[in-house]
Amino acid sequence: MNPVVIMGHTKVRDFVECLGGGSLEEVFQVERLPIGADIHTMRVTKFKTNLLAAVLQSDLSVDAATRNALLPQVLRRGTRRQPDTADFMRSLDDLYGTSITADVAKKGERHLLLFGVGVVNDVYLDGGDEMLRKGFGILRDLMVEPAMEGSGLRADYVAQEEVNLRRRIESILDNKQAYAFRRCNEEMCRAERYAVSKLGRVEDIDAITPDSLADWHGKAIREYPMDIFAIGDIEHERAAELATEAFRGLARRPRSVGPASTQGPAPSSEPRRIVERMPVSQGHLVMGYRTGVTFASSDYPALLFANGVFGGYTHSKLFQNVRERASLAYFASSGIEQTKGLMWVNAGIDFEAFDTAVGIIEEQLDDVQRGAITESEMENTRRGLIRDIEMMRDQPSSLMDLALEGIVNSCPVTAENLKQRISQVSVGDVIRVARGIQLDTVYFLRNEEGSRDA
Amino acid sequence: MLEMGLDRSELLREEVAYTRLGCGLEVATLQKRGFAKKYAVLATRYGSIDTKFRIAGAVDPISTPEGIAHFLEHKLFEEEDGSIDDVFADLGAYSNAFTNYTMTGYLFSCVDNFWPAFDTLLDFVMRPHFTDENVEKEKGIIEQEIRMNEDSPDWQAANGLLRAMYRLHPVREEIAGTVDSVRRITAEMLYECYRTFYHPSNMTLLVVGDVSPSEVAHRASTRLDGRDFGPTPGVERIRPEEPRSVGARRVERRMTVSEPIVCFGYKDPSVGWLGQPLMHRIIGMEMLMHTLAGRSSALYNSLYAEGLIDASFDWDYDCEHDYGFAMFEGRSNSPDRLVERVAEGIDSFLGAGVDPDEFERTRRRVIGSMLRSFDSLEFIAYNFLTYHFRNMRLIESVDMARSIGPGEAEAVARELFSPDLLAVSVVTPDSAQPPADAEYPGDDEPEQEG
Repeated sequence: MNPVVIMGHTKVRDFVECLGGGSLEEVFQVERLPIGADIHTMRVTKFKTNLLAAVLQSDLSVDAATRNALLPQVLRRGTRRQPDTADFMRSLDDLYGTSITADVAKKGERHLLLFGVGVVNDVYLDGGDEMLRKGFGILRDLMVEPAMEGSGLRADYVAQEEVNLRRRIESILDNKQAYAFRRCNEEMCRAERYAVSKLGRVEDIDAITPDSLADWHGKAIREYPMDIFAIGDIEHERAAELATEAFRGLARRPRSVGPASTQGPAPSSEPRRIVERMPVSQGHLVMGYRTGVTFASSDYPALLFANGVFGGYTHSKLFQNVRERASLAYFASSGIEQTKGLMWVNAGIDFEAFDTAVGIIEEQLDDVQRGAITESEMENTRRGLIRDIEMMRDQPSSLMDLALEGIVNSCPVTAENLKQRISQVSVGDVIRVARGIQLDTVYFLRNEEGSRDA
Repeated sequence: MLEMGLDRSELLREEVAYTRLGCGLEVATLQKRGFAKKYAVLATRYGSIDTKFRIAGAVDPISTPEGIAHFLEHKLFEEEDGSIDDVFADLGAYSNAFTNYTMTGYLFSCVDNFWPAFDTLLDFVMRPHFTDENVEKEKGIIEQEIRMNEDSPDWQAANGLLRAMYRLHPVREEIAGTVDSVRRITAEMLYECYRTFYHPSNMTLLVVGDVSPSEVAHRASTRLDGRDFGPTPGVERIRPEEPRSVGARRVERRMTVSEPIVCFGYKDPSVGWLGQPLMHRIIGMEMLMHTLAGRSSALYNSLYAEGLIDASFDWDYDCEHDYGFAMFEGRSNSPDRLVERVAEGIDSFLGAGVDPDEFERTRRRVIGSMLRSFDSLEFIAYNFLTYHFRNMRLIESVDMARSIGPGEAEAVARELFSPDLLAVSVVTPDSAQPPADAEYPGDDEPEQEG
């Protein structure tokens, strides 16, 4: 039932990471549980599945990244109760295809370990809350009760997942846009922890043993701050009760983690320009900027606006000028990282169009900075931002993501509040914020032939 | 009064209301109560494979360049006074479109201003404006879209498989065409295709969201039924007679990738199905393939433990009216060994017969996945139309999954998983030495890509 291949009309939103999730009339109820974790619940009855999740937060560092990345991959292979992967998967099939996720993500210089379970809303089955109760049990098993072998995690799983992690890290090469994006970030943030990949480093994999990973797991469960989410047809009190019961006996002593974002070094007066070569059909351009504005800043809504006017939508300056007027690209858009305060532009262009494209892109930001913004660019951006926030209500994962952004930035923001702040942003605010955006690094991945400098 | 038909699934707790307008357009609404997002798609039965056709009364068939359906989709957004995207942006609506092998769809999603956006959708799709100048201008954009796909190894592996499997059927061609074929497209050709395939009687409008079905039908009727679309054009879609056997057993392409990406599959020898029988076939095969190669299967777990696959491994069965295939794809450091092991796995699976307990477990899983996918408006919209254009009803899929037995799918599988119907497409790292056994000629010369 999946589309095999589709060609689209536009592709503008890949890099727009700006809006996490949230709710309008619905808000999260938050409670500190005795197990040393916060539970966030939101009751929404329109979904056929309920989302249960737990998130552990770590500093993003070279030291921890590889172990953090390997851990969820090993944990999802099996549990104490169901040590064999096939048995574990069969037990999930039996529960109406209960889905599990176990992965890592990064927000600014915070590394997140995410564990999720999606269960069918009991209303569609036999009523009651059997699926919900079992769902919390699976979340617990997945996260804290792994398949063990002696004092270590199961050695065959660790060995296989070490190979798979290496393959996953190396496979970034296969997606040229993602590769160009990653290389731009590595170069731009080379002196900052943000350059560390969420998957860690290949050279750190071999040193990890089943015992050392089990120790790491124990430490993560004891010490990393933990947040539990339940979104769906769930009463808060019941969710808190089920979570407490499931995680009973956890001896947690959460430590505080470092700041989620740090100010990077001031960009040099001249942006760096990096050209790399590979046998590619298209030039992959990524331009990295520092915005000086983060999620916790009062200027955050104005940054969303600046990004929207510049390159976030089809009505934006980048789409209109790089694609529609100059026909240089199929996609040309901008997006922001809101915890670290970065912005990127990316476009797929002809190799020979590099200088022209960079010129047009710089002109567009320049226009935003000097206030060449039309009334309709402002209002269409406002409508687009508000629409995107409202649409989060239809997606539990987006709702959770906005809450996480608030947690990571120690700045809880509700969608309603964000909407209200967006409605108050003036063109003067956008210009002021745009003037703080500075180009840091221009990265271009191009073919092996052609001129040497670009 | 418009006559409304209703389909309801008690399991899903969803219903779809249908009506056909005087102009011939089918209108369907699936009301999602409580959802903020509203989603509308106007789609036509015209995709990348419809390059050759004959208009009723004409003697000569018309051949058009590959990629023309997709090109037309891009150009329909252009109005006399600019892009229709701007009108949607003014309304706070997000607009886009897609083209696949068999259909083209125009869509918008919004929270507010649904009705003005709805009117805009109906108006612009029914109002072509192609000029030589705007057609030329689009060629640079589409060339970059084609180049983007050329750099995507997953796309190349999948397209390579279709090229290997099909000797003549146009599904072997890229949806967007090639840089050369696109250069041959003219405004006149676009008008010809538009007149042939964009008559309302060839199209379906679908709305998913918290919108009243009768209002949707009435609004569409008010907007369109006064207009003169002329008579329904008679059109015969010309398809070559596709032989049973695959064109090439194995194709390979070198790209800058970290390890080989393989896409292999079996060409369905029994096509021509539509409606209920096709839906039975598709859902039955989905359940059989899950039992065979899903994450809980013995086969998947042994391939995974041996390191032949990783979490990227996936499979699918899909069948259109005149082509179909079962395929497997993923990253593997030993692609040919993987193909061999899957083929052996299929043999022993079918040899033993489908285990009834495992099939029941699959049934529960498939029902759960279908329930879950009905939380996504995008999933509903795309799959509803795909089903609808095959005379199938998406909303009945859960009920069918609940009642279907393994017998029919087993019979399909025994016919389909035959060694002579297997084709393999591999994208290999350009740094690697070519393996000694890189080519297995099929009945014809093997096709070498790249």
